Amino acid sequence: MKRTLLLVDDERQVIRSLERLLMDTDYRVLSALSAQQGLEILEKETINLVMSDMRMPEMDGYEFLNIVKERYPHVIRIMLTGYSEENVVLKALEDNTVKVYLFKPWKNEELMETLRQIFETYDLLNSSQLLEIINNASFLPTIEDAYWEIIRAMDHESDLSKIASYIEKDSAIASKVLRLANSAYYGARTGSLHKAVTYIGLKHTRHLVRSTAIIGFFQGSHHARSLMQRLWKQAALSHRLYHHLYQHHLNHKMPENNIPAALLHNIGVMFLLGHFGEGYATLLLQADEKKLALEECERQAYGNTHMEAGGYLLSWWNFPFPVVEAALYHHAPFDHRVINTEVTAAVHLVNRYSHQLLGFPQYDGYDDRVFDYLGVNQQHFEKSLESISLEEEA
Amino acid sequence: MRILVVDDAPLNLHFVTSILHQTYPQYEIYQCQRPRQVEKLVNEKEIDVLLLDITMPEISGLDLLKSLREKLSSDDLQIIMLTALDDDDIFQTCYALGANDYVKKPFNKVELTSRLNHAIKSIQDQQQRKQLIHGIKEHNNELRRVNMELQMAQAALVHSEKMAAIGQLAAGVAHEINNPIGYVSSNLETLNSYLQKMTHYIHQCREVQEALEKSEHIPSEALAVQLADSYETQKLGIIMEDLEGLMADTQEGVQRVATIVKTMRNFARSGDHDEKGWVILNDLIHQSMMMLQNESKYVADVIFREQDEIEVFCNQGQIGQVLVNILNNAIQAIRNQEKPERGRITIGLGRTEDKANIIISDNGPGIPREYLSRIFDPFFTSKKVGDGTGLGLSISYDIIVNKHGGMLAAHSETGRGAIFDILLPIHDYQESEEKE
Repeated sequence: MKRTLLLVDDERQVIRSLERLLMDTDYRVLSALSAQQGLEILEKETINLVMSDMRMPEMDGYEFLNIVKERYPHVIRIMLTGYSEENVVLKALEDNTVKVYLFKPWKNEELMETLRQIFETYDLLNSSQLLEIINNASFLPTIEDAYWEIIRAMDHESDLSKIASYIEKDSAIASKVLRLANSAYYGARTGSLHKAVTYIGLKHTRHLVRSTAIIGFFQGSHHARSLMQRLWKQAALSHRLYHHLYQHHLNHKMPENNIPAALLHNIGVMFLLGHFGEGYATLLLQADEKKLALEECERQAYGNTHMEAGGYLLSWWNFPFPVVEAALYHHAPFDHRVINTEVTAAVHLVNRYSHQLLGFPQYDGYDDRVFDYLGVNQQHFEKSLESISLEEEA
Repeated sequence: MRILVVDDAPLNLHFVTSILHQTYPQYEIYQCQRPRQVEKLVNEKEIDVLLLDITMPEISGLDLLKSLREKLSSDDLQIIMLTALDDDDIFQTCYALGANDYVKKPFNKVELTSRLNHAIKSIQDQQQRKQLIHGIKEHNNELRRVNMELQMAQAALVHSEKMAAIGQLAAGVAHEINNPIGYVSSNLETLNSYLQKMTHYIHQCREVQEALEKSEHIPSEALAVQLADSYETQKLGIIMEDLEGLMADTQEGVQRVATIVKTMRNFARSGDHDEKGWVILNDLIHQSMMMLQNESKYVADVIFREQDEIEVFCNQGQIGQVLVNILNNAIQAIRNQEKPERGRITIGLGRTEDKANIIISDNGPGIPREYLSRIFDPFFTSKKVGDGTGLGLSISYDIIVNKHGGMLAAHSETGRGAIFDILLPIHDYQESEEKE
């Protein structure tokens, strides 16, 4: 299948250099010297991927890709940017305006590799059986509808205490957010949502509200209540371990865009459970008992796995691309298609230990290379888990 | 207060001393009968008031008076002569030699004490005056020191304003450099892969050549097909067409970076020192425009109407700083308007007699009248807190007016853009002042 790329940059030489490098590939390459020209091309041609510069006269890259996201949501959006635009780029990642960004100057091979990887991931996400299931899932929520008041408050309000009071109106969400926000504390705990929200800040709160809204929705379904409860515990503990990993074992701050990665990595399981109910619950338990690979069973039964389901949902809901990868590749963090390896490695790690700590049946093929990759000592990490009390996981 | 009485007659000495003890119990009273010891005593005891008999053996009071006055000023020692004589000439001599006063013998207590009081008051006044002067000197030193600190602080502020301005521009300049580096580096990688393909083809040619040389019975068509295939697979047709363009793009990119770096160097240089030299204003204006190209190119057209080349004796870094400051203000003002149409900034350069005239005008939002008189005040700004230091224009004003003897004025009305008018003396303004 021939894919069409659209390059947008106001400098001819940049376009030419990119065209040269893409010459050897099977991609069909179109180019535009301005955002406006780019939009005109998008109207006439079927484009699979857009790669745009940030700084352009009249309409800049962020504005342009935003329009592309609205009008052509299935087009993969990449930004090629200079270092001075870091703030805008992070914002663009957060609202999924941009899936992946590359810096200028770029290395030809890396750029090509990124294009390959993202196309392959999207092939996986767009595999037809899944689409059908999800589009037919009648209860599939749009999160904004379900919790629109809180989301709206967060958009218009910058006073965290007011936001806290909005959240408190929905006790189900409030208790979840409080519990998850406490994970960010250095082991301390607070009973006050207001305090917790003030501590973690607006962005983080936003992430938690969205994520708990999704989880809460699936939990509300009537199927397999206890299994759902188990999934929520595992998600919350993963989230907590993810924070623990960054705070105590990694040398740098957790990228804010990745906050929901651990929390939602198994959302696919919740979805399948919610949709297929008892049928899927049975499959889960059988896989546990007979020590079968869950994915094999899922593929046999439904054609797709929970990872693909989760990845597709998160992508559909416009979560940042690293969070989508966390859902897709948390069992295979070093898959050749992975672009944000740090996230997949970290989630792979916390997935393993959250299962272990909760006494849940363990998946067999854990990859120990994640420790080396993240620069974490395994014994050291396992020892530090002793300090994690599981009371609140009840 | 220390008082010394000198008289060779013990009775007199005793008489005077006892009066003094009575009247001034708080002061130190010394007595001396031997004139030769007087100088030593005066120095050792730091005497303030000396009561000196005139008629004495060995050294007369007058000689002693002369000798003392040669060594000490009248500020430090009050000398009152005691005398039984009644000779006006003597009195005149006393005064000429530096005595402060005299008392006639036989002593009248009231007279003696009143003369002494007078002398004591004089000493006290001297002391007060000395203290006052000392205090003023200290105060002056303090002021001088504070002044130096203020000057240093001013220099630091100016420097940091310049750094802040450079920092602001640095992001734009970094982008300007980054873009060409991006495609230069990519093109070189591409060129590398082209070379590999060409090398492959050349090897094939060599093989064919060798085969032909051995002139074995290999049909030439087969060889031709082999070469043609290789040419196709290696996409050499496309490569050959592209080579020239690739080299041109790459060289142009490198050239762009070199120009930008050169311009930045010019601005980083000098400016901090006040050295002046002959500067071609046209070039300086072009450089300023280039520095701000990344800021301006998305919001406004910047047009330089130049006719003649005008050279001026000035500090290149400082005048450059002024131009960048004013231009940047215009660009920011237009950008903040957020109008869809591009703005327009015009720079004019001209000359009148002995002055060069630079005019920078824009069609931005203009400056409200109530601000217009204050825009050159330090720290005055209409920008938000944290955005800029508010020092740019005041420093520009200082540079043009104080450091170069020129003039800087702004004309504007809300909604009708702004015009900044710079006049610079062509010759060193200090020289021309001296000529006047």
